[in-house]
Amino acid sequence: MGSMQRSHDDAKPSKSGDDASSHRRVLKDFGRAAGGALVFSLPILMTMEMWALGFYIDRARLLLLVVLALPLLVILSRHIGFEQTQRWRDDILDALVALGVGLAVSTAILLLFEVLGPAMSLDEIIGKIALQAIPASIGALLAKSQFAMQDDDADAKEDTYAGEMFLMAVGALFLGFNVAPTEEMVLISYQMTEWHTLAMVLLSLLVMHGFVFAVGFAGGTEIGPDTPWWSELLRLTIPGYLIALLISVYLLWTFGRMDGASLQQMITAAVVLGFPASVGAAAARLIL
Amino acid sequence: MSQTTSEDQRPMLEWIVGGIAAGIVAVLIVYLGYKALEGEPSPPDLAATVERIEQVSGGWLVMTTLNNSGGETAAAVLLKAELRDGTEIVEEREITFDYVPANSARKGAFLFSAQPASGEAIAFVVQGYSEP
Repeated sequence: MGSMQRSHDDAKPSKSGDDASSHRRVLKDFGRAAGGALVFSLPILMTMEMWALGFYIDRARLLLLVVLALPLLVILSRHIGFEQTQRWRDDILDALVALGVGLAVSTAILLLFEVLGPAMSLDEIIGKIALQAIPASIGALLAKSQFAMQDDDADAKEDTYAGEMFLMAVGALFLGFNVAPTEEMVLISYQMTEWHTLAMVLLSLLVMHGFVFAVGFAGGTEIGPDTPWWSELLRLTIPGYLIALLISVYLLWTFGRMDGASLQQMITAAVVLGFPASVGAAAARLIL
Repeated sequence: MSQTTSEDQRPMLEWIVGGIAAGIVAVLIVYLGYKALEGEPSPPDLAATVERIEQVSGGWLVMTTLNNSGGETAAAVLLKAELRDGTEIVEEREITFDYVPANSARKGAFLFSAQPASGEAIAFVVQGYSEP
């Protein structure tokens, strides 16, 4: 087909060929992003509490969440964007595309579930979509990098300390977001005694340190034979756990789970959500 | 790619961040340990109060706060409100609170068709609760 085209009109083929392939590439990119948004956000799209939160979540907190999501997506694109972007403009564009895909996927799926209907107020509909679009857009951005790793593996980006902390925060946010809105988070915290809470803190630290250790070996750069065990614990594991806890507190507050709770309850709930969040944080360094 | 950074080459910042984080996590662990050693928490202690009364199209809305000053969480708390005129009970309403956590408060509302003379005209009875 190519040769036929060339023989027929010699002036145009390179241009039209470029157009076709770039169109296909854009389509493929959108497909990847939409696929990622689905993979990462279907569990939460099918969570009842998220639908209810769509109308009763405090509007100021929802606004803050959406406002914070944009810079997060931009920095995330900077760190893991599959295009090895050089310019901030590209990162901002990537973030906006991810947000757009997240919005589209959430709207489509919520319509399909009839969670959105004609009898609802605009406020409720916007709330439901905006809330779901955030994990979906993070998923869209993550998928772009995850599904397009092949050519990217060779030149592993050098990780700065701040970069590692950022990746841990994204991992914590990601896994945390998937469970934070559920009633089980607070229910588990009601069931646990202080001994259970204490054990959960220690288990979270242990699991995180296991991941840190594993990544150290996989990369081969982080942990040397003369590195004492407490070095990684102090520099990576414990700050990572603190990040997971802070993200948990932020998510629980956003979803109104901290309202009217005592300090003790807040801490227990944060530790409960901090468990999946810390696993997400530690795993992010391995996966991303 | 396999060179190892010796300990004194690591930037000071990493140790500072690590130190601060370790301090905060240590405080958390000490706090939880202290609470754990404090012993058996007290059972749920529930008391309801009227926040305010508002007229709505269905009647009179009595906004209520249910406070749990005990050390344990109560689940499925059944709260009854009686609207009284003197000693006579005019109306009775019930609501269920899914959870009232320890040392925390939850809000709800009763809907009466008659106007309560004041907050004192309403008497609350906590019927019971289950463990979460």
